[in-house]
Amino acid sequence: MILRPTLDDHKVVGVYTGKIVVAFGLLMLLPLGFSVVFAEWDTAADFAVGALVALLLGTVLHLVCRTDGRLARRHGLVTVAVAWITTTIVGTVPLMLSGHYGGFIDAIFDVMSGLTTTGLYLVQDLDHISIGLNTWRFVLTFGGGQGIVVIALTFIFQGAGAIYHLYAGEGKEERLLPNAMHTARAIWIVSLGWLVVGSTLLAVTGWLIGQKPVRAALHGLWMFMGAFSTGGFAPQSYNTIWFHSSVYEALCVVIFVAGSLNFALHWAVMHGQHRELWRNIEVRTFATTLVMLAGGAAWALADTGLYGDSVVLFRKVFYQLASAHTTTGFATIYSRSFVTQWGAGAMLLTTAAMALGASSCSTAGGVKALRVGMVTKAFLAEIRRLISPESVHIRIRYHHIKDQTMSDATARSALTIVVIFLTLYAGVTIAGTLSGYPVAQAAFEGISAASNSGLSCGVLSPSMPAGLKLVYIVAMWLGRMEFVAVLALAGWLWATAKGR
Amino acid sequence: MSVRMTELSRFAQRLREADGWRRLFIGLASEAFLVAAMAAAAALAITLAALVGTL
Repeated sequence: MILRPTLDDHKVVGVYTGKIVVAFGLLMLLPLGFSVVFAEWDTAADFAVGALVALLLGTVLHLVCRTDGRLARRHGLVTVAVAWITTTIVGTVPLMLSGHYGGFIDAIFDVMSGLTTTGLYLVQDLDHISIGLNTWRFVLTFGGGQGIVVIALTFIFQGAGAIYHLYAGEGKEERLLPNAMHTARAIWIVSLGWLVVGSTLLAVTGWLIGQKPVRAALHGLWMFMGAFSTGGFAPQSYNTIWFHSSVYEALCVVIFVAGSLNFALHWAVMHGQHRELWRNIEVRTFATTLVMLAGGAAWALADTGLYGDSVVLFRKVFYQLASAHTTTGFATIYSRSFVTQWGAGAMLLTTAAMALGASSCSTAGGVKALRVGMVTKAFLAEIRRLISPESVHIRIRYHHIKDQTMSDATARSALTIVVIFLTLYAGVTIAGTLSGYPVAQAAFEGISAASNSGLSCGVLSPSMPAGLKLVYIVAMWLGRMEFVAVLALAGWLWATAKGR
Repeated sequence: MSVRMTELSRFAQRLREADGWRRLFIGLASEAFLVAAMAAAAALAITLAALVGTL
């Protein structure tokens, strides 16, 4: 028998969704401030309207759903899913008012892409959008990366233990510290440290390569936010290639690889456990697959003669593969170059890099290195078991923050998520193929969306079929939520309709 | 906004009290070094692959 959620249960979801929408409305004050400073009055008006809508909706939800009910795990998961949809819709208000979008679906696509740190976009005339609107794109991706729920935890909620369930629903199941509030603050400490150092270095580099000081500072901040959140948005359509600077590219690589590391790992390193960087299963797995995939792509490109100079070959291959593997989506080649110059072999390896993804409990998407490492170890252990005498007991050990032994349940859980991700990847590839695109391109673009990577081979455009845009929107959402919160919402709706 | 400022000032105070700035920068440098090591390993793999691929 399925228990139907009570009115109080719905109210709990409503009241916390309201709080998150209010926090989201407050975030819109940032681009509003930028617009005012740079005298972009039309954009300022767009964000004033957007913030007002969010604050009103959030307050109404909060007042209408007022309840004494406590937040339990099922509420937390459902709230994350509902709040993600609500904020995505509310976030389109300034986009629609800007006149840079062909329609509502395109605006929804860009907000979902930002919040899920994907980086694919459908905005038109990107090179000429206002500073305020550009800022909003990066606030979305940085805010999404840190988790809109964590923002709400840090700045809105006041120390409730049950709030942890909201946090766990976002696919960041790891707690750095015993208390969710402290964990959220720890994440912000790491991120703020990187923000100050990274933005400054990028701004100075931009200034040294010829940008005007204010523009260099803005680009430094924006590119940092796009890189550290492994988001992939850039303030111009040519992405990182626009800078024509190897130093700028190198800084971006350091920042987006750092952004793709597990926050628990950052925390351990900041507390003096530097050996963790070399021992951690996620780092080892990620480094191994990155080197293998980059080597493979170089092999595929070697006889094309595309990059005659080995330094240029390294610069192009490493940047693209590191960006794909960290699910960032920054690029130093044009989108269509994947198809017209790289060819099927190198494209396939880049697609595999996006599919695998980087660390869990980070801003990265994809299957995640922890699961890849665990499944590989479980597979190797299975082979050892087959060739060993029956009396031999084989234990699977791995190091992740501490030495751990893998249980059958953990291995099964990791494998289940891997299978679900592979199913999603197959689904988006089939959808792209049915929409008329070649399989390799459909797989590249679809997996880029589902793994929240953001690299494009040119399939994505405002004129692509609306149905495929919707498929990608759902895929970005499912990939970011790692299915759990979305399944919880589906179960909640089912129980509301059919439960007793 | 005042909540945000309070958070930031608390954070800054904690950094000062616990020698946090030094730890933070050493941590950032360690992570940058890790990326450099990965790039070096990838450079080696790419060079080898390019050599083998052109044979």
